[in-house]
Amino acid sequence: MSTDQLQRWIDEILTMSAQRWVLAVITFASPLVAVAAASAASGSVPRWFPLLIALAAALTAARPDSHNAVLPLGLVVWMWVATVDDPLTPWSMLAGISLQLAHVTPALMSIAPHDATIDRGTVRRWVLRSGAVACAVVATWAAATVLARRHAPGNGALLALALAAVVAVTIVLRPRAADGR
Amino acid sequence: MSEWRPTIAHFRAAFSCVALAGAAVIWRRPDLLVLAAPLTVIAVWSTVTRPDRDPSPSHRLGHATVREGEATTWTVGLEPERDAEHRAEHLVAVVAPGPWAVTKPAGGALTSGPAAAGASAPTQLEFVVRMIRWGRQVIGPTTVAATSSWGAYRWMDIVAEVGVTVLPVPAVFDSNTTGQRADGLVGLHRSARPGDGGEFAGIRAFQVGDRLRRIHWPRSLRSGALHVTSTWADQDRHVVLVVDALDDLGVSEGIDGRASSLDLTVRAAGSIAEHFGQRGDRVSLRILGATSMPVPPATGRAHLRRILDTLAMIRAEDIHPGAVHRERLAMPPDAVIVMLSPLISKVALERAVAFARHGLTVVVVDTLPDHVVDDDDPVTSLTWRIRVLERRREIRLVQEIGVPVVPWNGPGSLDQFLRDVARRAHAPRLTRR
Repeated sequence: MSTDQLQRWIDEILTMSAQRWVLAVITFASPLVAVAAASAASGSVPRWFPLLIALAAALTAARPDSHNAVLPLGLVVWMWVATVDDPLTPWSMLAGISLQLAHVTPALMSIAPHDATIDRGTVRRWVLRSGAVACAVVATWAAATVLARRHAPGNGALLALALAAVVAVTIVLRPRAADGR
Repeated sequence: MSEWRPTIAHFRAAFSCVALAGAAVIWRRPDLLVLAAPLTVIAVWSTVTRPDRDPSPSHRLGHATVREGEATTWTVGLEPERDAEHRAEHLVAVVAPGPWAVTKPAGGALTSGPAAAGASAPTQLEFVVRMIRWGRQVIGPTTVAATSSWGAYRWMDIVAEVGVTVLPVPAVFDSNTTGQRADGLVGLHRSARPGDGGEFAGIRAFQVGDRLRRIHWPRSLRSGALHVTSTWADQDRHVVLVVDALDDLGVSEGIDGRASSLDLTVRAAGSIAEHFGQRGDRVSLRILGATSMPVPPATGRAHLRRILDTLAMIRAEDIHPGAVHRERLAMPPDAVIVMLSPLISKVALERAVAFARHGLTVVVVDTLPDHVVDDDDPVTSLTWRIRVLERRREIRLVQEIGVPVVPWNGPGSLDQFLRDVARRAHAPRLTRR
C-alpha cells in the first residue's frame, strides 16, 4: 500500500458517517457471532480460528465493496464443517442468520459512499427484508429436521436429482444475472 | 451511458449459495443448507427483481447566474419509467468537489430511498450549492448511481459539469462628493447652466422657445406678463472603469475569506459601477489585456448587470500581457477614468500616465491586498518586500506626474479625487495633443 493510498484510507475512516460506523461494527461482529454459534454447537473451536475470522471481517468492514467479504463467509463455513458434527443443531439457525448479516451489511454499505448517510426508508426496507429472509432460515432448519427424522435411506437417484436441480437453477438464473432478459 | 451490472455482493451471494447447496447435497449436511438458505433467497430475489431497462438520468440547475455567496440548487435524478416492472430501488449522487462550489451535504453525496424510487414520479436528489467566488464556475461532474434490491445490480452514469456564472458582489462603496465636470443632459448632477431639469433655478420672463408648461401662472397674472419657471440642466458623467486583470496576486478564499488582487479589483469595479450607475452617470468598462469586448457607456440596472457579467468572465489565465501594448484605449475627452490595478505590472501605470498626458481625468485605485507580502518562504517574502518598495517608488513617480493613486478602502475611497476633479473643472489645463 502506497503512502497516498494509506492517507486516502485514513481520510475515509475519519470522514465516515456515524451510520457507517454502526454498519462496520455489524459487519465485523456478525462472523464472530457465527463462530460463537459453532463453538456452542461443537463445544470447542481452535483459538486461532476466531482471530483469523476477525481479521477477515475487519478487512470486509474496511472495504465492503470488494471480494474481501467472501473470506469471512468461507472461513465460517470451513470452521463449521470442520468442528460441528450434529447436522441438525439449532445453532445452525444463528450461524445462518449471522452469515446473512455478514453478507447483507457490506452490501448495504456498498450502495453509498463512505461519508454518506443512507436514508431511513432504505434502512427500514432492508431490515424488514432481512427479517423475512431470517424466517426462511428457520423454515429451512425446521424442514431439514422433519425430513431427517423420517430416517429415509440414501438414494442415488434423489441425490442426482438434487444436484441437477441446483445446476438447473444456476443455469436459469445465470443469464438473467449476467446479461439481463 | 451505463447499463445495469451485477455487483460484487450479488456474485458473492450467488457463488456462496451454489457452493453451500452443492456441499450440503454431496456431504448430506442439512445444516449447510440452513447456512445457505439466506444467501439463496437473496440471490434469487435479487435476480428476479433485476430492473427491466436502463434508466435515463435527468438534471436541472436552479439558477444559471447567482451572486457570490448565494446558493442555487442542483437536482439530479432519474426519469420516470411508468411501464417498468422493476425499477431502481436506491439512488445515490455524488458531486465532485469544486474549489468555489460548496455543496450541502458537505461530502457532496446524497441518497434517496425506495419511497421515491417506487413512485411514478422521478427519483430526484437536490443539492444546495453555494458559490463562494465570482467568475465562471462549475458544479460537478456528478456521479449518479442506482442500485436494485439487495444492492445486487448497479447502474452508473456521470453527468457532465455545468457552468454557473457567479457575479461579483460589489464591495461597499459610497461617495458624498458631486462632480461638476460633465456635459450630458441626463443625470443627477446640477449643471452650471440653465436648461431642462428638475432643479429649480428661478422665475424669469417668458422668452421665445420656452415651453408652455413652464409658464408660472400666478406670477404671470400678478405681473401682467408671462413668466416661466426656469431650471438647471441635469447633467451626467461618463465614468470609464479600466480594470487591470494582468495579475491575480495573493490568496483567494472566496467571499468569506481573504481576497486576491483580482477579487478586490473586480469587486471594487462592481461597486463603483453600481454607485455611479445608480446616480444616473454613464459607466463603461474596459479590461486590460482581455479578449472580451469593452462595455460601452450606458446607465441603469440592466447596464450594471452587463458590467457585472463582463467582470465575471475575467479569467487571469486568459489575459495576454502582450496584447495590452497593441491595444488602443481611446477615451472620450470628458470622461473620468478610474483605473483599478494592483500596480505590479508597469502596464497599468504607463497607461495611466498616458491618459493624464492627454489631458484626461484619471485616478488609479490600488487594489493590492496586504497579505501578498506574507509568505512562509523567507525568500519569497523578501522578494515581495523588495517589489513592494520598487512599487512604492513607481507610484510616487506617477503621483509626481499628476496621476492620483488612492488605495481601495471602500466608502470614501474616491472622495478626495472627485473633489479635486470638481475644483479643477474651472481651472485652465495644459494638455499634450
